Amino acid sequence: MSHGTDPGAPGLTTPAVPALLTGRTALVTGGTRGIGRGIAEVLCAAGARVVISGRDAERGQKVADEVATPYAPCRFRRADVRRQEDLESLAGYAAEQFGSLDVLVHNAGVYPEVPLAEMSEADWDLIHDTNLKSAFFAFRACLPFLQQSPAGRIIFVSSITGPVTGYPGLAAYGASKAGMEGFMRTAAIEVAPYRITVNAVAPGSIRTEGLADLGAQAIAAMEALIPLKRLGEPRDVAGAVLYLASDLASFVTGQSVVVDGGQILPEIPG
Amino acid sequence: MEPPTTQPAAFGGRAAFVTGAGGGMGHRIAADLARAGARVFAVDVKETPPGPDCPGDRYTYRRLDVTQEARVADALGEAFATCGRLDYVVNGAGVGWFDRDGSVATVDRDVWDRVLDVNLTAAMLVSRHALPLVRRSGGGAFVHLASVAGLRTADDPMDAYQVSKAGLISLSRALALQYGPLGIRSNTICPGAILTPMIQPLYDQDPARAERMASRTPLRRLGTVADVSSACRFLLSDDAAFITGVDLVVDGGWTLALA
Repeated sequence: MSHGTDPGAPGLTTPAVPALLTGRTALVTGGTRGIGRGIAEVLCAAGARVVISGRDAERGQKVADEVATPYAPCRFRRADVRRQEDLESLAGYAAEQFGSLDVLVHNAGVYPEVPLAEMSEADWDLIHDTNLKSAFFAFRACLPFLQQSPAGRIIFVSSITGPVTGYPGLAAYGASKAGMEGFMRTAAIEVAPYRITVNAVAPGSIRTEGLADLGAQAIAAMEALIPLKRLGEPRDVAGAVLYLASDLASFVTGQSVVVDGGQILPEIPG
Repeated sequence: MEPPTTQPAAFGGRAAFVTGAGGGMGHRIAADLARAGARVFAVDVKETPPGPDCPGDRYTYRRLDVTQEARVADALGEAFATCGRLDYVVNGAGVGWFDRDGSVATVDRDVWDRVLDVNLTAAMLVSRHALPLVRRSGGGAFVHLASVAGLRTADDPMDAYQVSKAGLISLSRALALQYGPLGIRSNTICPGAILTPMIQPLYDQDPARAERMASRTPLRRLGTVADVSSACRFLLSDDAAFITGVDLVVDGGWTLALA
C-alpha cells in the first residue's frame, strides 16, 4: 500500500481504498476454532479469500460459512497436519480454488499438559508432529505457490511458552514452539530472495473455547498477572497476523511478535 | 455489511503527539497519522516542517526543543487544548552523530551527554508530561523509535547512540508495565538500515554504501520511512490492543543473518 504526497489523496479511512488483503488468498491451518478461527475472520474481513483446515469436517463447513463475508469467501478443507500429503493437497486446493496462494498462517497445534515424569515417547511425538513437524510440512507444501506471489507471507502461531517462558506440564509443547521459532529464523533467510517474509506471533493468555472450563476464579487470577488486566481475545492475535500478512510489513521478517498484554514484563509476576 | 476498507484505519477522532516530526521517520509518521484521520500535533527542533504534505486541518507543527522540560510540558498542554484529547505519543526525536559519536574509550563527554539527553532523557520528559493527558483521554499508546543498535550493537562504534537506544527500549518496558493497568500501552520500533535524511550524508560520501547495505539485508533492499510509519500505525492501532512492552524489529532480516 502506498499513499501519495498529495494532501487531497484519499485517507486510509476512505472506503474507495482497497482493504489490506484484497485479492490475496490465505490458508489458515487449525482455523475452525479458537485463535485460528479469529485469524480467519479478520483476514476475511480484510478482503482475503481464506481456506481453513481442521480435522472435523462438519464443524469446519459450518465455521467457513460463518466466517465468509459478501466480499471474501471462506472454504473448509479437511486436513491432518501430521500428514505431509494432507498439507500438499490443502495448499493445492487453496491455489486451485482461488487462483493463488499468498499467505500461510500455520496455527494448528495441540497443548496437552503432561508432566515430564509421566511423559511417554508417544506423547512427545504427538506434540512435536502436530506442532513442529507440521510447520515444516506446511512451509514446504505452500512454498511453490508463495514463490509465485508478489507478496508471499508465512506466519507461524507460536507461544510465549517455550520461546520466552516455561510452564509445568508444557515441556514438549514449549520445545515445539521454540523449535518453530528456530525454524522460522532460517526459513526467513532462505526465502527472502523471493520477497517472502516469515514471522511468528507469540500469544500469551488468550480467551479460547477451552478456557471457560477453568472457572471464573482461575480466569481472574490469570488476568491479575497481565499488566493490561485482561485476557487476550483471538481478535488480538489476529490483529498482529493481519499486519504481518499485509504489505505494511514487507520489510519485517524473521520476527516473533509477542501478543500477551505485557505478561512477560514483570521481574516477579503477581 | 460495509465493504472491507483499508486497515488500520481507526484513527478518526484520535489525537497524536509526534516528536522528531521534522525528520524523515517522524515526518512520515505524523503525515500518515493525519491522513489516516488523526489530529496530529507535530514537534521538532527545526524551525519549519519538512514538507507541505500534511492535511492542514488536522496537522499542527510547533518548534520544540524536547530536552527543555518546561517547554515540553507547555507543548503537550497546547496539544491537549488544540485536539481536546491525547491518545498517542510517538517519541521520534533522536540524533545519530556519525562524525562525533564513537567508542566509550574516546567519545567526548559533551557528545555523550547531548546524545543521551536528546535520545533518552527527552523521551522520559515527553512521556512523563504526556501520561496524565493520555490517562485523562481514557488510555492510549506510546511508540518509541529505537534501533537494532539498541538491541545489539552499532556497526561502527556509536556508543552514545547505541546506549541511548537500549535505554529507550528499557524505558518503554517500564511504561508498559506501570501504565498497562490504566489502559496505556508502550512499544518500540527497532529499525535496521533505513534510508532517511539523517543518514543520507553517509550515502552521499560513499555511494556504494547503499548497495552494500542492501546486499547484507536478506530482503535485499534498504528500508524506507514508509516501512517504519506502517509499523508505527500498527502498534498504535486497535489491531495491537493486546501488544505492550514489545520491540518490533523492522530490518528486512538484517539481524537474523550473521553472514
